[in-house]
Amino acid sequence: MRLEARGLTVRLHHASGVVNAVDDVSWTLEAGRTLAVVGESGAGKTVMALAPLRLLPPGAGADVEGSLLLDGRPPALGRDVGIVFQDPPSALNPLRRIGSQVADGARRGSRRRRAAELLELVGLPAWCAGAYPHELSGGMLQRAMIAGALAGEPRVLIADEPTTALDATVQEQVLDVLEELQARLGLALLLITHDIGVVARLADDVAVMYAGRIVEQGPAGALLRSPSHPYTLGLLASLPADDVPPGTRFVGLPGAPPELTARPPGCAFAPRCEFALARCASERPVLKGGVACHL
Amino acid sequence: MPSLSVEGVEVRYGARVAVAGVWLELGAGEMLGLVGESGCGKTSLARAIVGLEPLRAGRVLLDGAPLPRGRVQLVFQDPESALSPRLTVGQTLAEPLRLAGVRDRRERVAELLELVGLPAAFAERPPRALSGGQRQRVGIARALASEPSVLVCDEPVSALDASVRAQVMNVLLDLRDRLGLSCLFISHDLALVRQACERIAVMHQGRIVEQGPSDVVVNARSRGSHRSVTSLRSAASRVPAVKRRREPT
Repeated sequence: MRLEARGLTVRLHHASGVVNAVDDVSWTLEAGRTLAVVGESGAGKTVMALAPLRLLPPGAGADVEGSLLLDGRPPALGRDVGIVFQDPPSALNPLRRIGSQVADGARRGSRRRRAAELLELVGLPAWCAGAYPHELSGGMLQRAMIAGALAGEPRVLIADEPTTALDATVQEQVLDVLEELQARLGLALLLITHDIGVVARLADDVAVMYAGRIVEQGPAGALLRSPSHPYTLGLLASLPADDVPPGTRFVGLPGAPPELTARPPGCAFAPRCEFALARCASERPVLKGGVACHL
Repeated sequence: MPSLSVEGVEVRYGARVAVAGVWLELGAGEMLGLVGESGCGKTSLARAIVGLEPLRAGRVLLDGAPLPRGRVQLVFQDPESALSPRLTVGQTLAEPLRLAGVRDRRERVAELLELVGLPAAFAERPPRALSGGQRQRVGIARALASEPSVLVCDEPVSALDASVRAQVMNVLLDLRDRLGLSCLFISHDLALVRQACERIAVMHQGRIVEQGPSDVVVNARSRGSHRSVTSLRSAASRVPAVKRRREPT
């Protein structure tokens, strides 16, 4: 099994014009492996994953170029690819019972039996099938979302910020579920997150996105241990440190990502980069050896 | 001398006890971390301290006396919903100033924006034109309008990216140093709280179950520390151990 994105570009039509929310992105994901796509809000991570599956709202006016292929053909939602959305309370229908929603994508057997199997798979008790979303905690709802994403027996799971809305201990439980499922079912996991801690825990490979482009890509261990792109370096440096005295200032990246309508002509990160060279302002770096940087 | 004293505070919603007799002391200019899992009563305690929840028992004192109005302010978790979409940043900041009878509101609004590291021109912008981090800075600036002695920050950076989170944390640490503000900083991120705060209190099922210097609470071995701390510690330890250091910007 091989899911491949090649030259993916997503153009969104805004009132202020057309922007490349995702610009010429390529990656490969194989069975049993986890690719984490990381970056700040607005980097294009979610658009990159959802637009090729036609999951963006119709009003977004997204044009997709390039390809996303599963073993050479476009993947089918549900049967090939399951999706876990970021905010379970708003992704689940408040008027339908959990079991009924979980079984929506089931391809075989009775819906009731399939819902019970799926809930058991994610470690939820059987009574959850008869419950409404408001009766479950945030962590349980996220497990139910994962169960629903697995209903069509997909080979790939896309998890879009699956732990962002949860507190730290519940995050751990949800990550445990994802890890166990991957080991049991041999799933390929495309993990979209801005949480480096989640990346460190689950990812085999990492793609770092900035302003719609991949700026660094590689095996998770090496990339987290010794990042090459100044943006990756900044992201890692902004995490809390465990070897400084309490009360120490945090190391932050200065400034904010550019508006996509006003992306600099060269490297989009150059205005925030402390190492920027003159050519960074005018010449767009290409991804070479896993890094898109002139340094 | 403690600036803020929380003495035996209890909050109930009907029969359910959300805060079950909490005692806390926050020194002048101190940033105290309050950590705990979802539903442990952190937000109910924060709201009770600033007077948004009635106290079933106990009291909250500032410098040994009942709380004067406006001297303890709350910074909310979600900058998206905490600001009115109908008001510009300037109008949002001017409202508490108007209520306090401040005359030169335009000048004071510019000062408040400067305190949180935003240019004065942001006063003309609506919240939708701001990023999440900028909105949270405006939320902090609004809390500063009544010149409080204490800020109660309820998960102020949980919804933000790591890099923006670092910027907002530095704003809070700067305010502590520049204005001598005390801060009760609520979070479920133990690693973040350890770096920002000298002391940490751990809340579980409405009670403070552990309290002490940050390094002691975070680094204590599991034996002897509450299971709530142990699970939060396990989440915090996901942060990659090997990172390249840079000088603060």
